[in-house]
Amino acid sequence: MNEIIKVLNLKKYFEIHDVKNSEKKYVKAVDGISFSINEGETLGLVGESGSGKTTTGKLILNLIKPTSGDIFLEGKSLKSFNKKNMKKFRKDIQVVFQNPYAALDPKMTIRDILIEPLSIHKIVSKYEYNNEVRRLLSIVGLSEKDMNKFPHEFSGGQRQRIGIAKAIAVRPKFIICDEPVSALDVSVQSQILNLLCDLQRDLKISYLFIAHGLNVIRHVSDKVAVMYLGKIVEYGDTKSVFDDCAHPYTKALVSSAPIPDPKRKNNNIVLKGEIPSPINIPEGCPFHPRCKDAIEICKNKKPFLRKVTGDHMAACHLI
Amino acid sequence: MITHRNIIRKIFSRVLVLFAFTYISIFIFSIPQGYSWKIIDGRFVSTYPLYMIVKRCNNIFISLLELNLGHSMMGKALNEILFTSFKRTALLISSSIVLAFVLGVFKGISDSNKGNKNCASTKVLISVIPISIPDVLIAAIMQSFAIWLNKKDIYMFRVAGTGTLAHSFLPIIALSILPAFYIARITSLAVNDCYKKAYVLTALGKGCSSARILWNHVMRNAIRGIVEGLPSITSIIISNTLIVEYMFSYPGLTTSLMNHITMGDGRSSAIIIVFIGSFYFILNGLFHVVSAVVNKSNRREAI
Repeated sequence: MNEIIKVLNLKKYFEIHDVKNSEKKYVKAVDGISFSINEGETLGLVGESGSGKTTTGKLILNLIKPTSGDIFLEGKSLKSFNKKNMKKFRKDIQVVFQNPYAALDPKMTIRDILIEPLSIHKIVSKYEYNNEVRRLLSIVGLSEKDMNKFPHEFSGGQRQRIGIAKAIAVRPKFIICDEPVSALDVSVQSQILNLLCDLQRDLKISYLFIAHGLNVIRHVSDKVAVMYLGKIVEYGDTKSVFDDCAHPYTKALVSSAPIPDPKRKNNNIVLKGEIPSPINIPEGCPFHPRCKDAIEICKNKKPFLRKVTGDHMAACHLI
Repeated sequence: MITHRNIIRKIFSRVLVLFAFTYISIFIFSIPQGYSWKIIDGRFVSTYPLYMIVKRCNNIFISLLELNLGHSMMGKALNEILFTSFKRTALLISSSIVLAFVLGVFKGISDSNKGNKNCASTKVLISVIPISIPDVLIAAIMQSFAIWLNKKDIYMFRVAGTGTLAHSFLPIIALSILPAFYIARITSLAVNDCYKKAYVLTALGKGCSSARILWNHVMRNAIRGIVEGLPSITSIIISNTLIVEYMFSYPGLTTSLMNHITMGDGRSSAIIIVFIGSFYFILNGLFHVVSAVVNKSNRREAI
């Protein structure tokens, strides 16, 4: 399969200004992550709040500049892109945001919202705008009567459908779904997830699926990357990561997911303490202050991703 | 039905406030010069009977309601004085509002950090400083500038007086500076707020140019906040009109008011004050209507 996106040792450090201290400090939001996504494949990115998932998405979208590292679209480095290439890049990579209430311009009708990307990237001629808008709305299960309505006239699920229609309008190769269902109720979540899966099957789109919910990630992803304090701590096929998780953090995450079986005993692994500040990341393994199995080496030496089985990798000294 | 009732209630309450303001203004100017009062042996004794003041006030109020404005102490018809000076003041105020709006919006856009949090705040400081400068000083600086230009045989701006359009330029600029910087602050904040919204990020991701994002997405949404701030600058403009007209000897409504107060013409002064007050009410109401029209979601609330 063709590699659509490749991320290589990507870092994003945000400089913070301390009025008391002249010493420069950095929030290491993303700290040297690497992964690749093939055509028609979904990579699920999971982790706690503040682990750097959304920042990774924004870096890939080129909405923020990385501190170091590189992103490749179909083998071409983003750094080598000129203005014309960047426009094509914008066409090929789209985003669906978490909050469908904020992601649509309240002053624009649905028709205008959907026409805008069509006109920017000249997807169809202006005489075909209305037909294209009708087609997009029907793909996401909305009626052509909705064309002249404003975003506030729709429910959350409908707005997210419009967000998806807007993303697929430019016929992208890759879509970043930044927690697209977390603001929706459960019944609507499944509709949106099924819609995304159907679109992937029909249009061969690749997804980077950012989410908190492990069940959602398990449902949609081919591969999973677990992030902790800006680093990928476990990466691999969805089945092997969820069934044979190797990193203690992934084990804790998987164990915390509710199981709809009252007879099964709850074996939750409760993590001690809070996630450390990304300004002062602990020495050695960043997870060691919360890890119940931590040994001496964990406090001194940073673990790197190492092979567990096949593509499955984890960053833990205990493997 | 509810909307119509709300409109009638709103208009009624505004008219009531206008009437109360009118009556109080006329009452104050009905008090004769040298009026004083004392309490002698527990009795209230005044130099002029209170019922006479009330009667005098009522007479003026009724004649005003009948639109019988009468004549000033100088023997001139008051409606003629009002009409002439109102024309000049209306030109001054309306031009300065337009100028302030245009300047303020562009300065505000330039001041905004456009989503870049690390942008220097020097531009913002430049907008904040003029807000704290008194209008008298601004007018004086303008006049000094005009004198300097006149000395160089450039007569584009006239230092004071009226008669030609050139006489209006400096008062209009002097009156628009302060509100322009207020609008600039409002615009800057509204634009910054819009740049944080997810739909702007989405537009960036779609490949919109920065100009398209600014005008199609940011300004379309920010204009709501800017227009909502317009009623608050009405009072600034009206109060500064007094200073500007006085400094530039511009014969508008407030200059006319000052002249009549100096002459001790209480009746004419009261009527001019009522006229200025009504003008303020109408202007403020107009801004509220514009704000409601621009902001569709607040339209019902505004009604």
